[in-house]
Amino acid sequence: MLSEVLRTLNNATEPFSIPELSRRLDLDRSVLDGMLTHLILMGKLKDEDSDPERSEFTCSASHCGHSDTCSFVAKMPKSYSINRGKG
Amino acid sequence: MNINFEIALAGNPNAGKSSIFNMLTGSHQHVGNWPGKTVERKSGSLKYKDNEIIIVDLPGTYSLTAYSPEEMIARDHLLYDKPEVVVNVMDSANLERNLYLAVQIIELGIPSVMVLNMSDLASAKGIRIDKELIAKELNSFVVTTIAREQKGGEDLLEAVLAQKSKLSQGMKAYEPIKIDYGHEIEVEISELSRLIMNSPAIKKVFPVRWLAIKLLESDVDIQNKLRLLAGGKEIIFSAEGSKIKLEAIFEEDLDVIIADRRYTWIHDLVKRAVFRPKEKFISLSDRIDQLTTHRIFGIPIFLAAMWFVFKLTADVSAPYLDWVDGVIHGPIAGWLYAILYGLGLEGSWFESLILDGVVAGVGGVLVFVPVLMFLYVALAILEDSGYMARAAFVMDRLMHALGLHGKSFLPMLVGFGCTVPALYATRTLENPKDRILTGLLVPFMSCGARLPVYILFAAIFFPHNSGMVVFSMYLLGIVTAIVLGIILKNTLFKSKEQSTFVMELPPYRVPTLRSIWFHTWERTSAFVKKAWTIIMATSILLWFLMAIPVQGIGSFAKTDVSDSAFGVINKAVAPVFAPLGFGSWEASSALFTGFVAKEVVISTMTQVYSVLEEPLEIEQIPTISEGLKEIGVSFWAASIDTVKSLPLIVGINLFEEGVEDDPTSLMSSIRVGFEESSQGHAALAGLAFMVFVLIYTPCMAAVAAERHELGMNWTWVSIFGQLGIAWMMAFAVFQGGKLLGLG
Repeated sequence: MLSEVLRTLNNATEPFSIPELSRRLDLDRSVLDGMLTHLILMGKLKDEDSDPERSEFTCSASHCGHSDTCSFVAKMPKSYSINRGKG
Repeated sequence: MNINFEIALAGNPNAGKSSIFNMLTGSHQHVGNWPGKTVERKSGSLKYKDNEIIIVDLPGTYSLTAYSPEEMIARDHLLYDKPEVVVNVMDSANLERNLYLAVQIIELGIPSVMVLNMSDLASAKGIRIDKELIAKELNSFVVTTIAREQKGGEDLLEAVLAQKSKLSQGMKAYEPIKIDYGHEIEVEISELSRLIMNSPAIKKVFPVRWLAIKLLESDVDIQNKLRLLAGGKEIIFSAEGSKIKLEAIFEEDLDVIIADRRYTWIHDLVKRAVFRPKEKFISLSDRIDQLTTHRIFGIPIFLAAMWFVFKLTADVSAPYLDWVDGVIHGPIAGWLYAILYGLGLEGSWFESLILDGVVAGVGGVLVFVPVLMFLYVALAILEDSGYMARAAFVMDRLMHALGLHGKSFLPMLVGFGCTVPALYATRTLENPKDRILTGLLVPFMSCGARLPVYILFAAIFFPHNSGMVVFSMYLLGIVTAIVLGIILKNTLFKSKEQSTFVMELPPYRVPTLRSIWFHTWERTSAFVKKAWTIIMATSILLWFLMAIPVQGIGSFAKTDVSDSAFGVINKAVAPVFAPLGFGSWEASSALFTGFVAKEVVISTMTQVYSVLEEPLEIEQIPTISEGLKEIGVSFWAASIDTVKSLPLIVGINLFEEGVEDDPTSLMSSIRVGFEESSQGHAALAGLAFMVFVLIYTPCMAAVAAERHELGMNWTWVSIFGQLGIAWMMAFAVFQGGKLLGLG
C-alpha cells in the first residue's frame, strides 16, 4: 500500500492529481492523504510548499514599486514530489 | 472506595478529540504547556461511579513515529508516564486513516478503548461499521460516540472501566495484538527481542517487541535514548545489521516496508469491517475535474478559458480605455497647460517637458490601466475559482509529455504577470539544468507589461479581431517556449531525471468580490506605481534626448525629433529592422527604450508621435466644472458601451452598424509610419512588431533577475538569443506573409 504509492510516484511519467492517484490505486482519499503525509514525514516525499527557498522568495528587483510582496506570485496548488535526496 | 487512575486521550487531528475531552471533563479542565515545550497540555478530571479519573489530552497526531514535537510528546507520555488506559478517538467516516495511530498504540502494549466518533456523519454517508469485528481484531473495547451532541460518554466510561478491570486481573488478561510483518522481518524482530530480553535495564523501560520494531525502523529518538542504557549500543548495532539484511532482501527502505505492512493489515481489516455504499461518492469538484483535467479536453478547455480572458480584456475594456485617454489628453493636459500658461511658461522648454514628456509618456501608459484591470479581474476569477490550479496541472502534464520538466509551467504561469518573480520561481526546480532551462524559457511568457503594446497594435491593425490577435500572442509565447524547450532539452540540457509529483487540487468555489478586488487592485497599483517611477524617469530622459538637436537648424526643445540626439541614434539602428517591415527610427526607438520596461515601448511612441500633434489653445481649455462634467458624462457613456460590448465576446454586436471609434492621432501616426516602412504591408509589419515585442530581450529588471538566478553567461545567452529569435520570427511573419499574399 504505502510502498505502492511510493513506487507509483517513482515510476510515473507524468504528474498526478490526488483524486487521480486515489482512483488509480483504489485508495480512499483520506487514506491516501494520510499516506502522503506519512511519506513526507518519513522524508520520502517533499512538500513543495515547505521548500525553504520557495517560501523565502522575495523579489529583489522591486522595480514595480512593491518591494515587500509580489502581487504576481499566485499561490500555486500544494504539490508533493519524490525526495531524490532520500532515495 | 475511590479509585484514582489516569487515562490518555489520543487521536488524529480533527477526529473530535477535543469534543470528547470537553464532554467528559466539562469545566474541570487545566490548561498549561507540556514540560519544556510550547505545545499546549490540557488535562481534566471527572468522577464516575467510584472512580476519580484524570484525563490527559494528548496532542493530535497521525502516528507515534516521533516525526514532530506533537508525536514525540504523545509517544513519550504513553511510554514513560504509562497511563492505565488510552482512549483513541477516531473519525468514523475516515476510519482507515485513523486506524494507523490505533495500531501503533496497541503495538505499544497499552490497554485501549477505541472510540468511533462522529458516527452520525458516517451513517449519513451510508457507512456501516462492524464494531465487534474491530474490537476482536484489535483486542480492544470499541464504542460509538457523537461528542458534538454529547452522546456516548457513558458507554465510553463503561468501556474504560471494563478495560481497567481487565487490567487489574493482571497483564495476562490483556494480550495486545501482533501485526504479522512477514517471515523475514518477524525472524529479525524475534532475534532483537531476545537480545532486549537479556538487557534488564532496557526491558524495564521499553516494551520488548515494540522496541525491536522501532529499531528496525531506525527511529533516531529511540536510538538516542537506548544509547544511554546498558547494552543499548550493542542492540542498536545488531538492529542495524538486521536492517541491512532485510533491505537487501526487499530492495526497499525498511521503514517503508514496516509502515506498508501496517497499512496493509489495516486495509484488510477495513475491507471486512467497514461497509460502504457500492456507488462511490464523487464530489462536484471531482466531477468537474474529470473534464477540466481530462487528457484530451483539458488543453482545449484551458485555451478556451484564456481566449475568453483576452477577448474580455481586448473588447470589453475598449470604452474605458478611450475614456481614460480622453481624460488624460483632454481635461488633465488642458489644466496643466492652463497652469503653465498662468505661470508664463507657455511655449517654454518646461512646458514641452511637462506636456510632451511627462503627460505624453506617463499618460500614454496610464491609458491602459482599464485593460490591465479587466485582465487582472479575469485572472483573479480564474485563480479564486480554483481553475488556475487545474490549468497549471494540465499544462504541467503536457510539458511532461513533451519531455520538459513538469514543474516548469509553474514559473511560466507566474510569468504571465511579471517575468521577474517568474525567474525567482524557477528555484522550485532542484536540478540545475532544469532550473537554467526554465529560466531561459520564462521570458517568452508574455508579461502584463507587453499587453498594452498588443492592445494598441491590435486596435490599429486588426480592429475587428483584436481579442483573437492578443490571445494569439500569448499562445505564441507558450508555443515558442515549448518548442525551444524541447530543442534545448534534447541538446544542451540533456538529463535523464524526470521528477513527477502529485498535485492537490483545491475544491472549486465561487470567487468573492472582496478577493477579486484585492488581487486586481494589488496588481493594477503595481502598474500605476511603475508608471510614476520608472516610466516617468524614462520619459523625462527621453524628452531631453529628443530636445537636444544634433543636426538641422533647431535649438534646444525646438527641434525636429528626427534631428535630435534620440532621432539620430535610432536612425542608425533602424535599418536592422527594415526586413521586418518596421525599419523607421520611431519604431526602432520604441524597441530600444523598451529594454527599460516594456510599457516604455508605448510611452516612447506616444512621445515620438505626440510632438507632431497640434498645440493646445488656451481658449479650448475647459474650466474645472466643465472638465469634471465632461469626465463624468464620458465615464457614463463608457460604462454603457462596456455593457453593450459584453455580448461581443460571443460575437453579438449591439453597437450600430458602421459606427466605429475614430482612431486616435497616435494610432493614425503609427499606421502611417508602418505603411511607409513596410511599403504598404502595414498589418503584416504591425504583427511582426508585436511578435518582436513578445520575444525580444526582457526588461532590465528581468535581466538583473536572470543574472542573479542563472549567472552572467546564461544571461548573455538569453539577451542575444532572444534578440536573434525575435528577429527571425518577426522576419518570418513579415516576409512569409508577403510571400503568401497576406496583408
